[in-house]
Amino acid sequence: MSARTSASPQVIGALARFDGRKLATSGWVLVGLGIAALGTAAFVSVVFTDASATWEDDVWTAHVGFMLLAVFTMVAVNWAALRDHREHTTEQYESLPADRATRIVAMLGAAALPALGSTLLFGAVAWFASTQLAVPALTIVHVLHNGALVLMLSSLGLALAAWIPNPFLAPVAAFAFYLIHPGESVATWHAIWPMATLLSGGLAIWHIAYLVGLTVIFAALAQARWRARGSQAIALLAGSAIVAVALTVIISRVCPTAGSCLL
Amino acid sequence: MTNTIEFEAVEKHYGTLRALDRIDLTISGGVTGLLGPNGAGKTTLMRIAATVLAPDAGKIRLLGRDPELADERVEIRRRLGYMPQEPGFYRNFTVFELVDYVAILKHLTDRKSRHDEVRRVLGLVDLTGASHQKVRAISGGMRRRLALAQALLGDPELLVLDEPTAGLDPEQRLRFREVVSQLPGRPVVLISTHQTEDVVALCERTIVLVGGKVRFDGTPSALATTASGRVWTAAEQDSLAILSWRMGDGRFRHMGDPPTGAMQVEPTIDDAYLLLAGRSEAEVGS
Repeated sequence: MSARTSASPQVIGALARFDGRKLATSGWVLVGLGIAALGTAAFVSVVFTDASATWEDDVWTAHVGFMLLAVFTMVAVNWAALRDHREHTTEQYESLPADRATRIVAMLGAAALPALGSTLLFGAVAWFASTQLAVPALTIVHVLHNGALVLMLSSLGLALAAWIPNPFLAPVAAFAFYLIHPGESVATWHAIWPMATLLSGGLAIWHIAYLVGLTVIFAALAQARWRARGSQAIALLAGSAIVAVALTVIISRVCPTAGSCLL
Repeated sequence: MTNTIEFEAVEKHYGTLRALDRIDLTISGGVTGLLGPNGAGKTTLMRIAATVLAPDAGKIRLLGRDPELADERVEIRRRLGYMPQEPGFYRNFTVFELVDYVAILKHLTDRKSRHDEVRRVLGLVDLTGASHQKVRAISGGMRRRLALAQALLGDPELLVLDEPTAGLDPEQRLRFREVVSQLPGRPVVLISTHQTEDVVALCERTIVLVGGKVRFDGTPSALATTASGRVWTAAEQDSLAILSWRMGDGRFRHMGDPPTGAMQVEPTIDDAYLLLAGRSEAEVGS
C-alpha cells in the first residue's frame, strides 16, 4: 500500500534519539572521529612545537579530519538507511504505523548528534587555537559550518539510499566530494563545493545557507521516494530558492575576485 | 460486536495468476486457523489483512476501519500485530534494541513504559535471557520467537501470524500455543499454518483456502467430519484410494471413496484437510 501516513513529533523524536545513539556508535562515525582526532592532535602538536605555526597554515590538518568525519557520517547514515533493503524487512515494517518517510526525517534528526559533536569538537579546536595563535578571520560561523556540512552530507546519504539503494554508491560519492577539493588554485565558482571554507564570517554565513538549502533539497527528495505530497514539493522549492540566493550572493556580490575568499 | 476482519469479494492477481478469487470472509473473534497448500493464497490473504498489500478488487474493513484511507490505516496499524512468513531482522541490533525499535515505529514513545513493554513481550516468548545478544548470534527458532515478540507489542487487537510455528521445535511450538492462548485482552488471531495440530490445539475456527477460494469455513471438528466415511484401513494398498500410506503397524490407511465392506475409521483433521485440498486442487487443475 502506498505510504501516506503521519507521525507525531514524539515518534520522530524517539526514533531520532534511537538512531542517533546507533549512529554515534557506528563503525563509520567512530573512524571519522578517530581521523578528526588525529588531525586535531597533529595541529595541537605543531602549535606546541613550532614557534612559527599559524592558524592559516597549520589548521588544515584538523580541518581535513573534520571534513572526513562529515564524509564518514554520510556513509554511516546511508548504511543505516539501507537497513530494510539489506535485511529484507520492508514488508514487516510496512504494517507499522510509522512509515518510511517518517523514518527518513528521524534519521536526519539522528544525524544532528554527530553534527553537534563535530561542531563542539571543532569549536574546542578553534578555542584552543585562539589561546595560542592569532586567528583573525575565525568566527563562530566557521565553527557552525562543520555541523551544517555533516547534516548536508547526511541528507545526501538519505536521498541516495532512497533512490539508488546500493551500499557502494555512498562511499564513492562521499570520497568523490572529498577528492575534488579545488586545492591551492581556487576560483570563485569553487564556492559551490560544499566543503569550501569561506574566509570572512559574512561569506561563511551564506555558505551555510547554501548547505542548509542543499540539506532541505536532499531530504525532500528522499521523502518524496515514499511520500509524494505537496509538503515535499514546497520543501524542494524552498531549498532550491535558498541555494539559488546563497550562490548568487556568494559568487556575484560577496566574492567577486577569484581566489580571494576561499580557504 | 464489530467484525475485526471483513473481506467482501476480495480479489488479488499476480499477472495471470489469481491468488485470491472473490473472497468473502468475516472474522469477529477468537483464533482462526488458515490452512491450505502452497500457492493457495494464504500469504496473500495474510498480507492484505496486515495492510501491507492492497487488493485489486473488493472491499476490506479491518477493526471497523477502511485501510484504503491513510488516517484509518494508521489507526489499524497501531492496533495490529503482524508476523510475516519470512521475517527479516537487523542483525547488528541486539534482541532488545530490535523490539525497542519496532515499539517506537508502533508509536510507543514514552521511553520507560516502552522499555517495560519490550521486556514484557520478550518474557512472553522466553527471550529475556537473550535480550543483550546480537540478533545475528541467536538461533533460527529464537528469531521466530523474536518475530512473534515484536508482533505482540502493545497488546494488539488483531494478530496476523503467517506460519508462526515453522522451524520451531516441539517444545517451542507448545510454548507458542501457550502464549497465544493466554494473550491478554483476547485479541482476534489469524494464523496461517501447515500444521494441522496447531489448528486443533488453538483454533475455534478453520478456513481452508485452495486455489484462491475458500473451500471450508467452520470448526476444526466440523472439518474432520467432512471426511467421515472416507477413511479406511486395510492390510493391502487399495488402488481406489486418493491417498494412502503404510502405518507403523503395517496396515494401510486410505482416503477416498471406500470399497464395500472396508474397515472405516474415525477421520482426523489431517485426513479431512488432505481430502479437501487434494480434491480441490484436482478441480482447479481440471
